[in-house]
Amino acid sequence: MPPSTPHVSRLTPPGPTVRPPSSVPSDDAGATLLRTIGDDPQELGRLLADIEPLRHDDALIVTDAHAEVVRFLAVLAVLEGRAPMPDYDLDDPSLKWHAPKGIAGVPNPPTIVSGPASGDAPGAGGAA
Amino acid sequence: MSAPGTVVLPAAQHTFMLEPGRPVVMGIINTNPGSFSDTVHLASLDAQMERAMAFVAEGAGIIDVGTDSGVTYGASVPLEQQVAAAVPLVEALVAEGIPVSIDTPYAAVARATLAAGACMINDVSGLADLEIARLCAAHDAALVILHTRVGHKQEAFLDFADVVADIEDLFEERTAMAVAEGLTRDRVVLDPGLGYSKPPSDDVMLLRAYDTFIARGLAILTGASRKLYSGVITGAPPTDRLPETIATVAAVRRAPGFVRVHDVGAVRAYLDAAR
Repeated sequence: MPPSTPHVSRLTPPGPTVRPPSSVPSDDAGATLLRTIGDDPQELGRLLADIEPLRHDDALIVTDAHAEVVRFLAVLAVLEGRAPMPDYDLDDPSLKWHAPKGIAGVPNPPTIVSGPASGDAPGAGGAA
Repeated sequence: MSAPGTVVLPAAQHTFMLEPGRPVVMGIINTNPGSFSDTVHLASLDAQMERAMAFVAEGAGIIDVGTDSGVTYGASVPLEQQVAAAVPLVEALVAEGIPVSIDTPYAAVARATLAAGACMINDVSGLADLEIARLCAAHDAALVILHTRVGHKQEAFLDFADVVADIEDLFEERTAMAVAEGLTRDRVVLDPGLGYSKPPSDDVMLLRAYDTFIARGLAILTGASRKLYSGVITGAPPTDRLPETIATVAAVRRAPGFVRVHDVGAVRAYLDAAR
C-alpha cells in the first residue's frame, strides 16, 4: 500500500465519483460501493476487481483507498480511450527512473536517443 | 477440457496451461542491485529465497530471476557475478519444484541457469543473440521474445510510425529465427515490451492492440509492473504504482500468458476476484 499520504492522480477519470469516508455523513450515504481496506494490498486488489465493472457507471464509491481507486480508474480510462493521454515531457525529472535506496549516485545519467526506429536485424542498437 | 483460447506452453520440466482471463503471476526477484522498482535489495540467497517463497505462497506461478537490471543509469554487473548470484537461487527454487525464468540478454547467463534447472529465458534483448534460442532448444525450455529496438540498458524513445506493426514484424521475424535454431514454436512466449524503446503514448497504443498479439496463438508475457506510461497518467512515482500496475493487468488479463509484477499478492487477489 502507498504511504499514509497517497498520491493523487493528475488525471480525473470519467465515470464513478470516488470519495473518502470522511466526506460523507454516514454509511447510508447512498454509496454504490463502500469499503474500508486499511493497509492491506490484497484488499486493495479485491476492491479494484469489484470496482472495475462500475467504471462506466454513475456510481458513488466511498473508500479510504479513494486516491488509489481514482488512479486505477484513470489508467483504465486512458487505455480504453475514454480519456485522453495527458501531455507529458520526457525531460521532466519526475518521470525519470530513480535509483533505489542503497544505490550510490547515478554513475552514467540516461542518454535519450531519439529518431526513427531502425527495424534492423537482431543486434541493432548494440545489444550487449 | 481446457477453456477456449487456452495456450499450452511446454517449458522444460513444466507445462503451463494458460487460459484467457487467468494469467500466471510471475514474481520478480533481482539478485543484483539496480532495479528502479526495488526499494530494498535482497543481498543474500536466504533473503531472496524468503521473498520467492512468499511470492509463491501469495500465488505466484513462476519466479523471474533478474541478474542485471535493464535500468539505464548504471553499468552492467560482470557476467561471472551474474552467474554466481543466479545459479544458487535457481538451484534452490528448482529443488522446491518452483518454475524459474531468467531475465537476461546474455547467453552466458542463460547457459548456466538453464543447466541449473531454469525452464524459461526471458530475453529482454528481443533475441539479439541467437545462441539464446539454441540454448533454449537444447534444454526444451521456453523463450520470451520481447519487443525492443535498442540494446540492453540503452534508454530510447523511438519514433515508431506504427508501433503495433513494428511489434508484429519483430515477433514474426524473431519467432522464425528461433524456430530455425531448433526451438519449437509452441515454446515461444511473446512480450510486447512495455516501456522498451517506446514513448509512453506508444505503450498505450500497444495495450489497446492486445487482441492482435493474442491472435498469434502463442503465450503472452506482460511486464505490467509500475510502468512509466502509467506514471505519466497519474503522476505517481515508480515505487508507488500498485493501482497503476493492477490497471495494466486488467487491460491484458484476457491474454493467455503471464503478468510479471513485484506486487504478487495484490495482483493475485485482484485476478482471483475479477474472474
